[in-house]
Amino acid sequence: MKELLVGLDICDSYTKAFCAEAESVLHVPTVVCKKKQEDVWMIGQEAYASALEGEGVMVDKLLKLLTRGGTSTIGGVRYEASELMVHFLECVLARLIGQAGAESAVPAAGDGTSEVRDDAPGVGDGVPAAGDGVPEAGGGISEVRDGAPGAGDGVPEAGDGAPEAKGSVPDAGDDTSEVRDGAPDAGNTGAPDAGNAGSSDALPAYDSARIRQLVITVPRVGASLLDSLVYCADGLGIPRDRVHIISHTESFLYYVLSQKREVWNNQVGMFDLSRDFLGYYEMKVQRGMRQTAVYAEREKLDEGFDLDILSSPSTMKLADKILCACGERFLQKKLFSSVFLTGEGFDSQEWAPEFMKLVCARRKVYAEQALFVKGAAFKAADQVREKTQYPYIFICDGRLDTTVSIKVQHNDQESQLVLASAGDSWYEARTALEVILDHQQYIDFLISPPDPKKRKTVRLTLEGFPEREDKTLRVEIRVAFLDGNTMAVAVKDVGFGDFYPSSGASVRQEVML
Amino acid sequence: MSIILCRQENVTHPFFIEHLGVFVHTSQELCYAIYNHPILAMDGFIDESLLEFIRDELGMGMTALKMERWMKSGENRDELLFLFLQECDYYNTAEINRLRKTVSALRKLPPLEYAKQKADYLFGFRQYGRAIAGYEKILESFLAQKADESFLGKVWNNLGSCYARIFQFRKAADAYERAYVRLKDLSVLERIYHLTRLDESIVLKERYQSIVTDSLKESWDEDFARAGEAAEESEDLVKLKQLFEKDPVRRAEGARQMLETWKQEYRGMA
Repeated sequence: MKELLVGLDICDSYTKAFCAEAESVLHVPTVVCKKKQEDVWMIGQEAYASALEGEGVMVDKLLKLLTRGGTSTIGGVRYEASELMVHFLECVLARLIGQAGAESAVPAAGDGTSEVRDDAPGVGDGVPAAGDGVPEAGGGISEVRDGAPGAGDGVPEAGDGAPEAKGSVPDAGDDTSEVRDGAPDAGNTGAPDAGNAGSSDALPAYDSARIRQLVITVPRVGASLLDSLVYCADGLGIPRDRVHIISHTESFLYYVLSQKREVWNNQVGMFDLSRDFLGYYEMKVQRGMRQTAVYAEREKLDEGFDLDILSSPSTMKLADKILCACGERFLQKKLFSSVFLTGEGFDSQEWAPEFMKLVCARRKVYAEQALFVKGAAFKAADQVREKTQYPYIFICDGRLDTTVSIKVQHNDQESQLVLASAGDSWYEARTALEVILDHQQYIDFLISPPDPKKRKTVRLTLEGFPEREDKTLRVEIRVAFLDGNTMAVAVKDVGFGDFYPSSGASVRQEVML
Repeated sequence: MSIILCRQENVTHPFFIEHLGVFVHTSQELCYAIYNHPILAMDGFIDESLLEFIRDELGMGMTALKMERWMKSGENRDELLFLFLQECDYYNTAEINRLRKTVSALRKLPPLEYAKQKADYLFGFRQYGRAIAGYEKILESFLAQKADESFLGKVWNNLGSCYARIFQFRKAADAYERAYVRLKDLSVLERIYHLTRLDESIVLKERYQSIVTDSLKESWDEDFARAGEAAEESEDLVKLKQLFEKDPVRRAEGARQMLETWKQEYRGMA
């Protein structure tokens, strides 16, 4: 059985799962349902059906519940959010494994996989028709591509100049589409989407051994959510070294960097219009002497609106105006190589002719609904490579933008020992080391943000530590990060063998980066 | 002022330095032992068991190999110490050069003086058995016949102190007496006098009675009493008292640990 490299995009309203071997992106609402009398858990259409028939109890907004560390009572039994999430993810992964199958007969992504998509436009469907006031697709000025760049002629292909998508790597340029299994229809939140396939009869047993790498992407990363998701991964029986959690911003970077270089030569913008969120992402590349740094930021826009307004022509115009205002604010006076559109709101762009006219001016525009999950899958694929295909310093949500180091003496010379580097995942950047303090009762941490002018030294004084003779104060330094801006340092006297047993002295401090 | 990064060493079997009576668990501790007690590390300290520790436990296979080759070459073995220190990067070049000078100075000492310093070091680390062996070796040496009386007096005095520390009071009194003969130092007589207080079978010899006046005895008695009082308040005794205040279960466990420590200490001493 082939091991899978899985990307998983978990949001409060929907969850998408993808791996190269699957026919398509699995798209289900983030709800889980349990039969009242049996230990049977369901997701998607089946979950809605069971809940409507009164056989089961459904819990939604699982991600929010997990972030809060909440609970839900089903059939008199109280379930922790993490338990519910484990059941949900088991069902999602089982379904994905079913799609991927042992059956390697499934055509590889990019081979012209058949689409199972009843509400989303196919390749080319989203291209606004000429005469709508939007430049025509392929008209030489700009293009709107549904699917990733690389689908179609004249469009940059992944794997050319950019990190290549090979073998089991999900091909950004494929025409894979989504199976919207039970996803709520636009304007019909929470209702099961009729006519979707995927009954429990076909659901294979979940097998953690099939998951070689699992990269989960969530809108924003926070310590408690990350802890909970790692705990869930434990519950799924997936070893921790196979699980990575990244933000949507980071997924965006992975996705864009997987495209041909001309797509991201200059800045890249992205609008994400979902049922409960309107956001703008921006990526820029800073080429350095040693390494290239890629920066991405995400901004939640207050102008977000309910997608229900897209169902009436009058409110459609209002929505178009709102987006135009946002577009003008972010895209003016900057040089963009490309702009991406993602989220349910961009399933079709027909409702936003003015906005499309604005974004399509002097740059390429691509629509990709499964951008985050594919970005996560790209990372999953990269995890198993001997050498990364993304040799860049990622600076984004979930990654540190600051390097933290201490001065150490080595071979009669002073050198900087890096404890955490800009670009490291702050959640995974944990360091423990032992040092000997020679004639000093403090440790200076050098904090180096991207702007050299803001470089600073933070001194941690070791109060209460014994004053031992030369070179016998041995301490353990533990560094971890509570978020991208807060470093927690713990220093403990570990003693100097039989010569000086530990005094037990310790100190802990949080440092704002 | 600086910070030294410690190597990651997963030592499962620490190395026991007999002369110091300590286990070393890291390369830094081994460097520290060598640097601060060079006289104990100079003769035969680096042997096959230490090389095995360096190679297998500290994970410094290349260093062990270099040291092994140096040993086989028959060159000056003191260089092995410096080689090891350099490889560990715990002491800087200036510090290693300082040690080099110390070692060189020790090597220039007359053989008996060198042997005495080594035995004194062992005494300082409560390695009384080894210190006794060292002092006796000096006294038995043919070179001792040519040594000056003052030097031999000091050796006898230190030998007496070793015996006293391991409760062999008669041997201690005998050694002190030989020391007094050579040094004519009243403090040595005082030690003999104190031994008579600890062991009634020991008596101050007739020929010293005239020297030890009543006022002197009174003063020494006071010193003895003060020492006794200080011992009552010693940290070890306070710990012992606290132990007996605990409930029977914790007392038994504490007593077991304390006894174990004493046994270890005594084995080291004797």
